[in-house]
Amino acid sequence: MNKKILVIDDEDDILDFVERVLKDAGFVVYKAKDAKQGLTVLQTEKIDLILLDIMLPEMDGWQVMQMLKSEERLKKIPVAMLTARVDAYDKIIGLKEGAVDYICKPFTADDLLKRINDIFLYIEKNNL
Amino acid sequence: MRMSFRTKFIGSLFLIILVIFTAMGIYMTLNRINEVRGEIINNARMFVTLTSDKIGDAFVRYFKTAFFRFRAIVLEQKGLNIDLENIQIIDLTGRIHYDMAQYEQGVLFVEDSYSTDSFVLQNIKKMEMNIMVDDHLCVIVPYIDEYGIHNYSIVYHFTLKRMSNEVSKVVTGSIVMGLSMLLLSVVLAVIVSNRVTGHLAVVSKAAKEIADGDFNKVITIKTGDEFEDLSNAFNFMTEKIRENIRELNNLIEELKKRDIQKTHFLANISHELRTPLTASIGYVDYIKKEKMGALNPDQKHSLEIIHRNLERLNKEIHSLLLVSKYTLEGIKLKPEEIDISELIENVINNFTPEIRLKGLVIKKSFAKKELFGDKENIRTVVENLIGNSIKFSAPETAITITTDIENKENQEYFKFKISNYGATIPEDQIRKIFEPFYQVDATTSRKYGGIGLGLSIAQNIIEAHQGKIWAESREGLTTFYFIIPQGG
Repeated sequence: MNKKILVIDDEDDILDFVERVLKDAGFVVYKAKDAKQGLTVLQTEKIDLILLDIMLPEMDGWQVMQMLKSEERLKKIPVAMLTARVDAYDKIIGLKEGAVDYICKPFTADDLLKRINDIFLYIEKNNL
Repeated sequence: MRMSFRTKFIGSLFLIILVIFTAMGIYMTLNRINEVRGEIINNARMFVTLTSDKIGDAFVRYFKTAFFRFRAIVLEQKGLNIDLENIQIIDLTGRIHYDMAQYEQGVLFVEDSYSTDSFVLQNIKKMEMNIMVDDHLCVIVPYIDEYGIHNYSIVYHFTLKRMSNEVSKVVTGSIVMGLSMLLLSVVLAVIVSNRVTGHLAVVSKAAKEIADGDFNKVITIKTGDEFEDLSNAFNFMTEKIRENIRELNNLIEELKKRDIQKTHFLANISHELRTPLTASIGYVDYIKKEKMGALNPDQKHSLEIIHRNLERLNKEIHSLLLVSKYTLEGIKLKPEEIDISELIENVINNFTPEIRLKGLVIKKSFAKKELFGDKENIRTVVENLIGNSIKFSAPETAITITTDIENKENQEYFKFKISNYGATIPEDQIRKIFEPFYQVDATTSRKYGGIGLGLSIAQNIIEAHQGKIWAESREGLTTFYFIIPQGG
């Protein structure tokens, strides 16, 4: 069965690009422009991976992450952070607390797919 | 020679007092001389007036018949005046009939001895008293006998010794007084000058403290005189300085705030620029790789150019973000053991297209293969230095990269060195190239591209590693160095 990926980013064009690449690679893609839309998707769909932008309006990526980790049903879903590299640079350690990975903007299709494949491989190997 | 105020003050006071007392001493002495002289003369005059008749009578009556009676009368008279030295009785021809001094000294009177004293001879016949003051006081008094005949004159000799005695007394007195006054005044001068220099010391100490940066110094001198004025003026001055410094500090704070605002603005702008780039680079790369259908060579070439330019834009924006981040937050290092030779090789590989395009040769010599530092940051420095060297190299030249160990003052340093041939960086600009946004000249940015942040970032990073980065450039050979302390 195809893996389901939820992308949360406030930029339409980035959502569009990520959706295109992931769809071409055979994933099922759900898009959300903010935390609220993302949570709506999470309530109905069983998501395998969340790509989460850090710079979001109203509630930022860190807060979203905390919320996900506080809910029993959602806390096992792996989260990869999308970030402008400089922002994430010194927060990698913090990331380890919740996120499985971080993907720096700007990224190419190859970067993105390789990271996502690595994440799923890692999850499979560790039976998470 | 530097003389302290104290020395000058005491010295000049000493001199002034010395002069005053000398003058006073001289004045008093002269005064006293005149006084004593007048006194002696008056005494003599009175004495002569009172005794001349008595002596004259005794002489006429007893000299020849009862000499001892005469002598007793004369001696009795003499005893009445301490200044009297001699009494002579002389007739009008100048012949001395009686000379008390000689007689009393045991010299028997010589008949027919005449006075040789010119004053006596001149005045002997005169009918009034004559006084002469020379080395002694000489008074000639005519003796008129009971018949009114002037046959003899009596000559009195008074000594002026009392005068010189008085003078020496006065001189001694004024010297003693002068010396004691001098001593007193020196003591007083020391006390006064201590007070003065004490106050001045307070002021000068405060001035030094202010010079050392303690602008809250306030001095209190409550003497009600010029020192208080001085301390008030001083406090007023420091108050003004404090005010100015406050204003300056406020200005500095304001400038810092604005600088931070500007840096924040820069960070935001870079971030905003990066977001549209993400979608653009992503899609261009995706299309270029023919993921959305095959491309003809022209399309592929055009996309290649778009992609390259977007990457360049991305790199510059990344630099801007780095600079603003370092400015705002400083650099946080995660040092580790780095295989620096591998890192350099890796960076060189990434520059292969540019190196080929210019026909450059890279000469490498890695005497030291490891470096303890922050890998990401060191990579940025190496990328910047190699990128610069390639950018500024003349075509068909060689770039030399070496790593080494250097020992200085018991400290081991890792040393990186990269040289290239091309334009010489002028002496006066070699330091400025590490300032952000600096380009050697306005045309540099147009000719070589870039917004001049690479070296500034490199410097930030190397300094965060407690290291040093610098450049040398002469006769077309430009070399960049950095050293980072190792171990310990």
